[in-house]
Amino acid sequence: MATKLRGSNQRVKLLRHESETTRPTLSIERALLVTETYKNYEGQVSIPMLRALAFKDLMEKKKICINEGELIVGERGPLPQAAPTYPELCCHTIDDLEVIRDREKISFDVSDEVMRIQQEAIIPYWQERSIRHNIFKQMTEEWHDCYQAGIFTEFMEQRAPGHTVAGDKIYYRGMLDFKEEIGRELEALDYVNDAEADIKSEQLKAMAVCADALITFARRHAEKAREIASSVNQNERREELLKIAAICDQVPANPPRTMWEALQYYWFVHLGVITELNTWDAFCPGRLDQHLEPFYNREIAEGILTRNQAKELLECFWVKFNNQPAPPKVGITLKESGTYTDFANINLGGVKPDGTDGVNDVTFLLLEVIDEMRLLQPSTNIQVSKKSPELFIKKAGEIIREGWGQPSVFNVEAVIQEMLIQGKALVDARNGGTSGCVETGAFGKESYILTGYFNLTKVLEITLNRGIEPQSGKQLGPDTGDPRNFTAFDQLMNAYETQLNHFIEIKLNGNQVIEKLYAEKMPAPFLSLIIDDCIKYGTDYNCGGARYNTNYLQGVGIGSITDSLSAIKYHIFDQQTFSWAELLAHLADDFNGSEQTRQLIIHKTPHYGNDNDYADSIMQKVFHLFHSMVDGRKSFRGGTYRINMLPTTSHVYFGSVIGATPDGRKAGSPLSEGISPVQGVDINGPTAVIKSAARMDHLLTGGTLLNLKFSPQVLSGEKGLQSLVHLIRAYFKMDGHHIQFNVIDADTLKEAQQNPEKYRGLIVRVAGYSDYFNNLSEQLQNEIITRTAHGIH
Amino acid sequence: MEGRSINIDRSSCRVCLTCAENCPTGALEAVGKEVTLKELTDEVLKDRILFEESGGGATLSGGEPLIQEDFAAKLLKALKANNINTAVETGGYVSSQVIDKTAPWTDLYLYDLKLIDPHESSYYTGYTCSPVLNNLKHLVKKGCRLAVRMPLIPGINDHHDNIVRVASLLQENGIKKLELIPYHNMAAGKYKGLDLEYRLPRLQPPTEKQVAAVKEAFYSEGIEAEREV
Repeated sequence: MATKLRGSNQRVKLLRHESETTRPTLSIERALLVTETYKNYEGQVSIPMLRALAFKDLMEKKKICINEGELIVGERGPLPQAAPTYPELCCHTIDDLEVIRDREKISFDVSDEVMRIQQEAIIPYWQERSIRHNIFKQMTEEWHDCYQAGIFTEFMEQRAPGHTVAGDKIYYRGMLDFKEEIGRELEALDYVNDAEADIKSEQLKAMAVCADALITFARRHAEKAREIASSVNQNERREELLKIAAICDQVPANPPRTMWEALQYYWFVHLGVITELNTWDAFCPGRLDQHLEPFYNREIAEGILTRNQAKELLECFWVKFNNQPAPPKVGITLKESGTYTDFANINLGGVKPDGTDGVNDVTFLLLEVIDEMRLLQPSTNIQVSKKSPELFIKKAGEIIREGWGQPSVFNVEAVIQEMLIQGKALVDARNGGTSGCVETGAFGKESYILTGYFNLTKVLEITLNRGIEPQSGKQLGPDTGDPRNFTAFDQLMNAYETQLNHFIEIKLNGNQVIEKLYAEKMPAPFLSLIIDDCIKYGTDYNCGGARYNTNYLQGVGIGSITDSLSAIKYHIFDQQTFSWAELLAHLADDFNGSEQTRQLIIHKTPHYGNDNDYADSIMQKVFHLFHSMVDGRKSFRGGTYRINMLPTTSHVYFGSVIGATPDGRKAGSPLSEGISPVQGVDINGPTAVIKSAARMDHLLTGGTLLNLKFSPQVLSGEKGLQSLVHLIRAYFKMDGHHIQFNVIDADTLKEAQQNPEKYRGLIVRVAGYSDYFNNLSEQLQNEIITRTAHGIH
Repeated sequence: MEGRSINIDRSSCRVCLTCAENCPTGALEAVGKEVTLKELTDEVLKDRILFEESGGGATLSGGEPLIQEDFAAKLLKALKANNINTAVETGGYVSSQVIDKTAPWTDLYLYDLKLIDPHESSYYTGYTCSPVLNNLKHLVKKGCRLAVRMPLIPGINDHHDNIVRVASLLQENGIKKLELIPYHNMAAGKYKGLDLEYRLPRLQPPTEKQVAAVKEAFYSEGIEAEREV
């Protein structure tokens, strides 16, 4: 066993092994502390201050944990792999906890003691106060019907908006500097002319409390390190612990002076963000190679750090991410995002603020770390620009072809143009990148929240049934006429447009209420310290304090709806293979007894993903409808709506709520994922796929997700690497936003499904993130097996 | 159809392919179709963006593409007009006029050499190899870019005599490199699908050791033989 452990040295090997083999548990510590704060202060202080005091109590009272041998310290829970709960967002019922404990996938140990505390102390206080409770209470009946039908999901019903990434300011300013800035803003408040001065004052004071709280948290780690040092026999570890203590004295109060301090500072900030609230996509250091380069270069030049020491620090840093499973999700949120991964997605490469190539020595060092560690978390990606050296892409390609799903690949020029189109400053765009799965953001300066997945294919099902959802029999949309009477394809498209508009309105109206709820009840004063310009505006992150505020609606199933529409157009209108009446009868029967027709549709229809205008132009039509209905709309906090095209795991859930579709898909099967073609219909090879995908106007989105799967042989040798580089460059030349590769063959996956115990370490790319194959539902496993294994010619 | 398998009476088949058109699952398929010059050119141009990235291009392959000499020449010309790199994979068993017809628009010939001995050649391939050898000289004389390749078929063309003669032919023409393509039996399935007899059912691909020995033999004859990548 010992020989197989990964990590550059014994220390890392042990830390990594512990991280991988410790079972996730649920910790009640945070819930108890927050409940105590609320009981003590609710109603006596402003809401921002209440949130700040809760944060302060957490930082002052939560158990401090320093693991044996580690160099970067601090855990979110009392132990590694211990996830806290956030009852103010989602107050789990006892049933929820039993499901979380007993479910086959993504389970957490929940002790009887935790069950008891939840029952006695948490539920009575929070069950009617939680955000989740209030969201569901305030949504209209119409919204609930659509939500239950699976027309859309709701991101904020049990996790908070986050969807943001750290910029560079923490590498040259400490918490004390932020406090000073807050002080200046407080003094500058104009209580005579600014009606909001009182609110701003509360928000600024709340931020200051949080800055102090994080300093306290670090000091407690320093104390703990000294305490352990005093009882450690081994000289070397004692020295290390004293060093750690000194570092925790320096940061985050003051700016970091060394790479070690920089990493530790970021880690405290990370813990602050994910402890304050259960933010989506946790948090992320973003452009890590850019941020660390100055420290690394100076220390290497001065001879106080070796490359191996830097690597060891980074590997220790990696383990910290993997120690924090995404807090347990339940219900539909679990279905749309069924994973322990919490989506911190580190960016490598890209360009510098002046537009020159950003690849540096730390970039290559990080690639080695990624390869060595092979951990689920953090996720990683490479940002490829025209200026990126080929060596960079090839080094990443060598890791990609090992087949565990990292890193994914992004197009810097597209990402920057997307941001410019959204009105961001060029330098902010260059300092940005992509996070979560594939989402474009101005790091350190933007709140770009995903509000929910939107089921584009479900809306077609409802259109074909005159506004009625067949599963529930409810009239959810307007009656747009009986398709049997449609004599032209455009009539169907018009009906679809009407239905789409109807459901988008319901979703966006719901969003407004939810956003207001967060702005009023759940500010995030700590996160506000980190993201510009919350301090400058004296406005909380959840109230629109960030420099840029963007809201996304994520379209899902573009391949499935395109192929469905293509089948209707081709077989009913062009070829007259069958009639409307026949098709609708087949759909109602889930193609039972009409397998021949189903096969004919699958094999003899122009499909998206084959570089075929017939199908691709339908994809463009649907994309533009969706885009035009969402893009540019304003949100409650002053944000602007945009679309992106990514699914996480929602394409499986969304498929499960739809009956048979005109593309020959059987009821309940997964939809196509991201902007990838329907599983198995892309028969013209990867270049045809990228050309079809590039017919979508990626620059109008905030991210698209394209998944290509290769068998390992395809990418072997220098020639295989070259082909990979060419495919990436060609797709990016056509403005493709993102591409990721699953390098594995179907037989291996089938074998893994049959004998999971033999494949415990098998990691596959799911959709914007990687996961253990064994952690995926059987449905999702099947779906990944079905995705075509391409061969590059 | 009988049970779970499809049986076709090939003797009554007029290759109208209506069966394939009406087969819903695609279990019966027509391999190959008639295309116009424009259709084929457009199909190749679909991959232009990748060719421009990789420096790759179109390779006319077969069978023997030069059997359709006029169409091949027109296609090559159309592709060159669109700045696409072109290659022709040929066994060289054509008249030298055919070579002349395609040469102006062909950037590279992938030229197959199997056997040199006239008797062996006609025994295994059914034709004499003299046009193949002449065309090789012809191409060299014309200054065309050539990559000579030898399918390595154990027991048939990997014997010492053939190696020596291939090597000396290459030397005579100033060619220093040879690509070895180890025999494989992946076509067996195609034969089965066409109800044709696969006549080398027991022939195994050469082992690594056999390939290495052939490489070594060529090397001592002054030819740099490399296994195909």
